[in-house]
Formats: sequence, C-alpha cells, structure tokens
Amino acid sequence: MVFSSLHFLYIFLPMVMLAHRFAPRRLRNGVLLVASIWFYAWGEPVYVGLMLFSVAWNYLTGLQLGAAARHSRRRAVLAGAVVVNLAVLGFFKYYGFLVQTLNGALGLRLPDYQLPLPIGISFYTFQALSYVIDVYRGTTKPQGSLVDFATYITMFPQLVAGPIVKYTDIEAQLRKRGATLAQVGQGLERVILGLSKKVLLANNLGLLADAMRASPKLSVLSAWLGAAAYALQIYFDFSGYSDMAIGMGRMLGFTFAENFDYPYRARSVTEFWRRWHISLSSWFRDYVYIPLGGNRVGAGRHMLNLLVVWLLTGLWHGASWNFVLWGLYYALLLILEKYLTGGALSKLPAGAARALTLLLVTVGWVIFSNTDFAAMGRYLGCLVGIGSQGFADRAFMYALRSNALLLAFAALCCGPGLRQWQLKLTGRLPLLAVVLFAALLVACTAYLVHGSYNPFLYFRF
Amino acid sequence: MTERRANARPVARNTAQSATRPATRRAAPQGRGGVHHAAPERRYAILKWALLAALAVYTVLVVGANSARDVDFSVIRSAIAAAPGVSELKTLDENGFQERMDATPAGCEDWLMVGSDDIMDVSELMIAKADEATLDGLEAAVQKRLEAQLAVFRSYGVNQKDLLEGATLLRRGNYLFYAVGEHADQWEDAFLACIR
Amino acid sequence: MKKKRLLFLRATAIMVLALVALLDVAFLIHRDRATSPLENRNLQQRPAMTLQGLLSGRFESRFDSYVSDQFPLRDHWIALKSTLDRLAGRTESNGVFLGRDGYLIQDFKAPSEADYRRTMDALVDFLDRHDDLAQYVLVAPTAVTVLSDALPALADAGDEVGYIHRLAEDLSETPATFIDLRPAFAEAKASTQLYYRTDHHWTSDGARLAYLELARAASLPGDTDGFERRLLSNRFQGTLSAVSGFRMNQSEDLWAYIPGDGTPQTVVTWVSENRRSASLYREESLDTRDKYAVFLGGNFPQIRIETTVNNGRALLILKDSYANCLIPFLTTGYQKLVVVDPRYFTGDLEVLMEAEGVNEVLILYNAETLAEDTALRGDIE
Repeated sequence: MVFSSLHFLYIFLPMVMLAHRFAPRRLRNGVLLVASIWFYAWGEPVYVGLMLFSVAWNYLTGLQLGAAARHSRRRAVLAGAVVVNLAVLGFFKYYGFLVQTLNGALGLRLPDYQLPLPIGISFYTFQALSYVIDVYRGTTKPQGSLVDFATYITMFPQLVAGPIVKYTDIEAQLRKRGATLAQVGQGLERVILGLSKKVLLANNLGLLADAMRASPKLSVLSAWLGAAAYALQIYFDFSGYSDMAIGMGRMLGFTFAENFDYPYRARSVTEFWRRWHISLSSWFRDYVYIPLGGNRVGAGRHMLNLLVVWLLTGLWHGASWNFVLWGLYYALLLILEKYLTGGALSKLPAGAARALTLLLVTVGWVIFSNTDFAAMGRYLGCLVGIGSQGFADRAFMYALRSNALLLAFAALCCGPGLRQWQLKLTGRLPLLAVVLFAALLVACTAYLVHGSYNPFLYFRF
Repeated sequence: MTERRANARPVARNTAQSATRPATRRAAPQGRGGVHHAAPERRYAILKWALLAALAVYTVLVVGANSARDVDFSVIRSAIAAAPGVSELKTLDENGFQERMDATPAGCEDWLMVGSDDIMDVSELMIAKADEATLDGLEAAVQKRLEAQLAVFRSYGVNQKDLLEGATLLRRGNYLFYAVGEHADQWEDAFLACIR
Repeated sequence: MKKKRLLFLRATAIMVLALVALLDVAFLIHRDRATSPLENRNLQQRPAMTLQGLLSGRFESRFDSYVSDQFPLRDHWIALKSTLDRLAGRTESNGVFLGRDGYLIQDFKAPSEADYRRTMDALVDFLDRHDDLAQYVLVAPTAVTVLSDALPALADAGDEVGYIHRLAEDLSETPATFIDLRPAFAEAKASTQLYYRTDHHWTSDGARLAYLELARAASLPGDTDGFERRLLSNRFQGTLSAVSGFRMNQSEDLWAYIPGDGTPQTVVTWVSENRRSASLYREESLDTRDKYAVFLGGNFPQIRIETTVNNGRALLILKDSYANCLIPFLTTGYQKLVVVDPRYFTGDLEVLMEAEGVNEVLILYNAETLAEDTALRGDIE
C-alpha cells in the first residue's frame, strides 16, 4: 500500500485510527500490529513471512541477550544475530547484484534468481539491528512482549520508508500513549503537509525531471534544469513521506524524531548530512562509525572510517554500483572538508557556501539517479557542455516557462520561512488556516484521483 | 521551527536511562520458575534454530517461485491449449509472429503464439523460451507492439484499450510471457503452474 | 496564541474526519459506474477475490484502482486537477498542447532514424514496383504545423515540417506525385477553420481544400459544387480533451459535405463486415462520443466504393482516418475506390490490387500517423 493513494488515505488510515482510538488500551498494540501486517501484506503478500521472521528472530535474540550472563556468550549471540540479519538483507536485496558482479568480473555462471525486492527490508532490518545492539550494550532492557516488539518493528507509518526509529525512542510509548484531539490534529497537520509535498510538488517535479532526462538532445541548461528538478523531487518525495510518517505516528501517540532539517540550506556537505535522512546517518554513526573509532583516532584511520561508513551508506540505498560511487563521492567530499577546505568554507558568506553545497549535492543526485554508468556519464557531460546540444534551447525555455511557478514554490519550500509563516497563521487566524489545510487536502485528492505519475523513489529499500 | 524542536525528544545514548521500567515487563522467561538462567537461554537458542530452519525452507520456496523449472515446452503448450479462451484463437506461425511483433522468433529455443483474426479482438498470447539476450530483444518488441496497438485503439476502442493497458508481461528464468485479453489471468496462472 | 493554535488543531482534526466520513459514506452507497465517458475508458469494477489473485498482488492493485476509479465525484476531481495544472502554468499534457483560441494541438513525434528508413524503403519499393499505376502521395500537415501560432509561447513542438520536407525529397525519385498542402493551408487558415479544436483530425473544410489540391494533380473535377455543406452536430468532443485532460467541457461543430443531387450515386461495401450501403455516412455515430466516425463509419480493413462515374478509373487508397472525410469528394472522379486501412488489413495487397483492377494509387496520411506507422510498411513490403 502506498501512502499517497486514495485507498490508504480514505479507507485504511481512518479505519485503523478509529480502531486504535476506540480499542481498549491493552489491545492497542495488537490493533496496530494487525493493521501493520495487513498494510505490508497488501503490497507484499509473500514477503510478509520474511518480515515476521525478522520480528521473531530479533525478539528471541533480545530475550536471549537478557538471559545470558557471560560476556563471551552475549557477544556470540549478538554476532550470530547480526550475521543472520545482514545475511537476510544481503540475500534478498543484494544477491542479484553480487552474482552479476561476480559473473561479470570472474566469468562465472552463477544462477541469478531475479528476486523482487521485499519492500522496507532495509528499514526494518536496521531497526531490528538497532534494538539488538542496544540490548547488548545494556542501553535498554529486552522487550518481553512479542506483540509489543512486533508492533515496534512492523509499525506501518515508518515501515516502508522510514524514518528509522530507534527502539529506545519509543519504548515508553509502546507501553503507554495517548493522543488528544489536538494531538491528532497536529499529526494531521503534518500528514497533510507531507502529502502535499509528495503529490503536489514531488510528483510534478518528477514529470519535469523525467522529461529532461528522456530528451535525446540536451542543452546544458536543460541538463541543469533536469538535475535541479530531480534534486527537488527526491527531497520533497522523501521528506514528504517522512512527514506523513511522523504525523501518523503522532496521531497514534508516538513521537518520532525528525528526519529532515531543511537540508538544502546546508552550508557544507558535512552539514548537509546532519540535515538529510537524519535517522540513517545517525544509525550509521551510532552503530558503525563510533564503534570503528569515529573521529577519535588518527587522521588516517579516521579517513578509513569515513570511507567505510559512506560506502555502506551508498550501498544501503541500492544494489547497484552507482550507489557505491555515490557513497564514495560523499566520503571524499567529507574527508576534503574535514582536512582541507573546511576552514576556507566556513569563511565564505552563507549564500556562497549554500550555493556551492547545492551544486555538489545536485551532482551527487545525478550519480544517484543513474544506475547505468554510460547514461550517467553522458548526463554529467551535458552539465558541463560535453556532448550537449547548445547552451539553452527551446526545450529548456518551454520547460522553464511551464514549470516556473512550480520551481519557484519548490525553492521557497526548501527553507523554513513558509512553514514558520504557516505555524504563525494557525496561531493567529486558526479558522483560515483550517480552510487552507482543507484546500491542500482537496487539491491532493484531486491529483490522486487523476492518478497522475505516482512512483515513490525510496521504495527500492 | 520551534514547534518541531519541542517535539524532538533528547535521546540518551549508551546510558541505561530505561531503568524506570515498571515491573510488569518481563525480561525473564515466560511461564517458568525462572531460577536457572541457562535453561531459558537455551530455550531461546532452540527456538532460534527452528526459526532458521523455517527461514531456509521459506527462502527455498520463494526462490523457487521466482525462478523457472526447465520443463519441456510441450508441457506449456498443452497447458495453454487447455486454458479457457485459447481455442477461439488462431495458432500463429513464424510469419504471423513476425507480422505482429515486428521481430523474428528464430533465436528462441521454442515459442508459441496465438492471436485472433478479428481485427477488433486484441487478445493474444506469446510464450518464448530463449537465452537472456534474445528475451531482451523480444521484450522490447512486445513493448513496441503494445504501444502500436494502443496507438490504434486509443481513440477507437475503449474495451481494447483497457485490455491492452492491462497486458501482462513477465520474465521468469529464461521464459518470456506476454498476454492480452479477457483470460490473460488464467493463461498466466496456467503458465506459472507449469514452471514452478 | 496557544488557545488559537489548539483551536486550529482540533478544528483540523474535525475537518479531516468530516471530509473522510463524507467521502466514505458516498463511496459506500454509490453504485459502480461501468465507463467514464469523460475519460473515454472503462472503469475498474470491484475485483473478484481469489487466492491466486491475492498472492500475486493482482487483487490488491486492482482494488486500489477500483477505489480510484469509483471515487465519488470522480469527474469533478479530475476537472479540478486540470484547472490546478493550468493555474500552475502547465500548457501541455500527454503530448497535447493547450493552444490559444480554444485549440488543443497534438505534438508531433519524429520517428527514429531506423523507423523512418524502414517506412521510406518500403514506400519507395512499392511505388517503383507499381510504376504502371498513377501514383499520388498526400501527407497532410497537422495543426502543430499549420496553426503553430496558436501554440503556447515557447512551445517546443516536434519538427513536422522537416519530416514532410524529407518525405517529399526522398520520394522525388519515385514516379509518385507528392502533394504539398502547406502553401494552400497557410493561405486559407485565416478564413477557414482547417482543424478541429478538440480533435486531432482536420475539418471537412480542411479536407475539401486538400481535395482541391489533389484534384489538380490527378485531373479530377476541380470543384465541389455538387456537395452541400451541412452541420451534423454542435456537440462534437474530440479525443484530444480526453487524452490531455484540458477543456473537457468544450464542444464544437462538426460540418460535413453531403453529396447532393448532382453527384454520382455510390454503393459502399464494407468488405469484412459484409455490409452494404448507399451512403458514405453512418448517422448512428452522431449519438456517440466518437462523432468523427460518422465518416465512413470509422476505420475498416477494406471498403469498396463503386460509383456511377463511368471512366474506368479505379483508385487504391492506403490511408489513415484523415482520409475518411475526404473520400466523399473522390466519388465524383472515380468509378471505383478501394479503401484500405493498413492497421486493420490482413490480406495480400498485391492480390487485392489485381482482383479489383486498380490503376491508380493514393497514399493519404497525416504526418503524425505516418511517422508512427508500422502497419503500412508491413503491408506494402
């Protein structure tokens, strides 16, 4: 099931919210669990089993860690659990990639099972790993109730596309939570904003990005327009989805941490990654970077740590070499910033620093969006005038003219100003604000009914 | 901005802040006396091994369902011949295939195609068994065929347009399956039953 | 301020609840619609729940479509989306431009080099093979060329002019006479509506103009005085509004040139349908959405038209739907017209030409359809 669909918004979500609200407190997790499994099974009738395995496996691991006393035993249990989790993720997501690479490189003929990717496997696996590692570290006690634990892993708001919620963050709320009418309203406010970002902004930006990419003759400006449109699309797509997740969590009584903090206002690549997909970079920081030593080591080792973390981050995003390249790209930029240019960067005026960062990030997205290296190379070339057809052509002018309003509004929404204005409005003219949100919901519904272009980019995970 | 910050709870890392847990939550084994620590741990370990076994079985089943057994093509032929809606359609020869698909089936290990003589009937079914490269080419030909058909019927036949838009195109192992028509679902099920 | 914020939050919750409840109740009590005339397609009905369907995901995706397709007030939501698109500055959708003066204009998509070559080679081969026949090639420009000034500003339309030009050049070596309509159309467009506003076809006036050009090249009667210009419908809604979603409520006039008393009698035979009629028009189409099908009843694999003109001229017409409203004019100059639509024709063209005794050939397409064609080249190869 997709968040931005009429079925989800008008049938599934209201029914679940009502059932959750009016069920006796003891049964609320059960209701949520059943709903989440239904949600997942709707999109993945077969792979539900895999997710349930992950729940059971990590639940038992948690208990096992709690029961085992000897340090060496606990370490063994943890190692085993991590290996199995990663093996499952590795097999179902990366097997094809591995086999194709090995076949290509070593000339082998290993069988390539074209397994469809289980939706959300990267997210729920990482959530489970965070739980298991936290139990091992003693950060949290194991969850004794299978239902409660399963609810944590399978919770539908963040199951398919994050944010990656740490067990410690919501452990208390699993036990006890509530939502007043105002809190439900707050959640809905967030949901409507997220839905609008996705349906009104991201989908239309996607049309523009695809049009530019599909064009056989690209002028330099067309290439940049397409790249910028993609950068905006992926931001609104993903952050919109996170907004909806956070909003729905709120309606259920959960508080999820923010996943995006206006990343396109970052003044350096380092800062960008503190603002983009925060839950993922936090996860890698807490469970890979810091255990490796983080930055409390010599420069050489530090650089290696960064490299490892970023290659893994890239790989997490997709089973294809361009994602690895993308990770490497950022690893190099981060190392550069830390050891070379960081000082100079901080002396730049904010505008220039932001522009430079945006430039680097946009180029990064071109790498990210092309799994075919030849196409990627061609596009990157067009950006700098190699293989492009002219600097500005009619196609560019028309695309710009047709999408001027969309692009301007999207650019505006990249900063906090509009959101702050909206919040102030709700506090000054509340009924007008309600009308505004009603209008947004109506507009989104209109677009959804029309069934326009509605893929969700991060569904690869 | 202020509202969002207020919502973010500070997360404590690496400190056992979760000490304020009510006693109702058990970290101890359910239903046992809970005196000996090794026993419950063993129980969990056994359960986990059982889970791993179940996972292995599950994985084998999933992989099997997604790949294709190498069956004799005649099995597929008879299964299709028995499927509903096929008897009304004409079996096409290589020329017929070429005419519709604008591509040759010559590179295939084996293939079958049925279609209708009636110009307004868009039902057709094609199954090909070939290596990956040939299947890639055929898949592209099918896409072009669908586009061409849709271009024709887009403004003239609402039913045909629907059937064409609901066309099924599958790759399983070294098989390619393409079907348009009212009974496309049943043909798909029959085909998958052969190769699973 | 805190109180007002609380008011906003509670009111928002209630507002959403009310909206959802309203739509859900409407959905529950509605009766499924079978088709959407607005979108010109069938609507998804409630899917049957089968185990196979559930496991394969078919049921789920169909159910999702079912909800969208049967959503209450669907047509209004679609109209709203169209309006929002236009407010946002969108002037093109699904290959159709939102033009000035109420025009919807379909974009031209140039063929790939390989496709062009295949069609051209087949054409040249065919024409050279039948050099004993008088040959005419009429590739009509569409609105994107002739009405280019009605396109939205800076519109990046395909190069149809270049395509027609290239066709003319490549066919100059063959015995065929290539009829270029662009000068005549450019001159007439100020005074005549040559194309429909909501459809990709040319109007009967446009077809008539094309006929006059053809008549000069083919020595046919150079006037259409025997025909009476009649308004067949004022509620014609073409295909472009359904395709694009723009101007879905707009309708226009459909005029036709009806043969009068002075014109030859005709017998029209729809060969594969085994139907015969004295009229070139199918009036029933005027009661459906597809009113353009009033001309010859639409597209058929093979239609034979025999007239009382006793000059022994028999013309084979390889055509697309543009020809349908031009063919009536040809009945004044030919004894027999063999009308073949290659998209539907499955027989052997050579055999047909022999059997019917054709001595002239006309290839009559509009540039867009010819650029996308794969059927013509298949039949004439």
